[in-house]
Amino acid sequence: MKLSKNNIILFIIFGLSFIIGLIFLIMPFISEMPDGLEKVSEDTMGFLKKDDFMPTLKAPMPDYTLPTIKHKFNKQYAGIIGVFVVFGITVFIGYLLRKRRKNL
Amino acid sequence: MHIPDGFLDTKMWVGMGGISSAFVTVAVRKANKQISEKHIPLLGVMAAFVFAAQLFNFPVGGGTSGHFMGATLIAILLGPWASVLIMTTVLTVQCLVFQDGGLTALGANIFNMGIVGGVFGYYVNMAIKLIVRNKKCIFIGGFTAAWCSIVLSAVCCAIELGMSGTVPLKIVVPAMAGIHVVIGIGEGLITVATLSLLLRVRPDLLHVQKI
Repeated sequence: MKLSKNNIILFIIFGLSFIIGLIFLIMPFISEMPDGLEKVSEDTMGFLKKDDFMPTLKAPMPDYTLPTIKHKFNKQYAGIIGVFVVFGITVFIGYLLRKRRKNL
Repeated sequence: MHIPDGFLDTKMWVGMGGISSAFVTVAVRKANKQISEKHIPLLGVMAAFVFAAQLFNFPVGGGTSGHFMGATLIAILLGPWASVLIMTTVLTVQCLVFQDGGLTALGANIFNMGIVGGVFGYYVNMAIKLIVRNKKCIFIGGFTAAWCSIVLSAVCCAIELGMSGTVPLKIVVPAMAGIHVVIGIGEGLITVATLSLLLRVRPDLLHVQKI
């Protein structure tokens, strides 16, 4: 990858747009059925369900849903917020950990 | 495969927290020496991609769904330790912001998905590349590594639940492995699809220095 600034910004814009496009495209088709672990815990443990336990902390958007707004694209918006949060934190960690030139 | 609060007993989640912290420390040390400026946008976009891709639950039959994990994909592109770092970030955000996976189980989730998926998946891929020495090795290696990573993650998850006394080991291990043998096929297909897309659009990204 070339190091020019424009190139990097273009890469980020293109990458994130692609991901957001993907979210809007595929979200209507996602399966609401329990995932592997949930299914196994319901079948084999029977008495143990995720909802039986109090989570140790209350998250702002449980189950990838915005709590206050009822909207057709609620889950998509929650997903997009997540995409930007994850992107931001990763880039921040990357900057903290990057190689620095000596004596600079 | 995100373990919620309450499924693991205290010795298990504390223990897994310790093991994962050790691995994440190694990942930070390795990354500290090797991340260059050109890695940073790539790390960010791949982390965002994995987060988004994990939202998509696909049905696998029998009233069950599975979702993409992505650790092996990142490990193939950016290296095992970059994968551990990215998965740790994604899992922490999922836990703190979206309540997917419990806070007490975070260490176990990072171990199962980030460390097993990233480090183990990376070396499976490397091994297959040594055996299959032609152009298709990237796809065969990617699929096999992704599939193995899901199955081993599920087995680790099952062993943790079993050793916590939540459910008998001999029931939960085959049940988890059985479902994830199927989910792993989805993981393998998404990994191969992403690799082949990148191979067409940005083949240079497949040759970034691994972390």
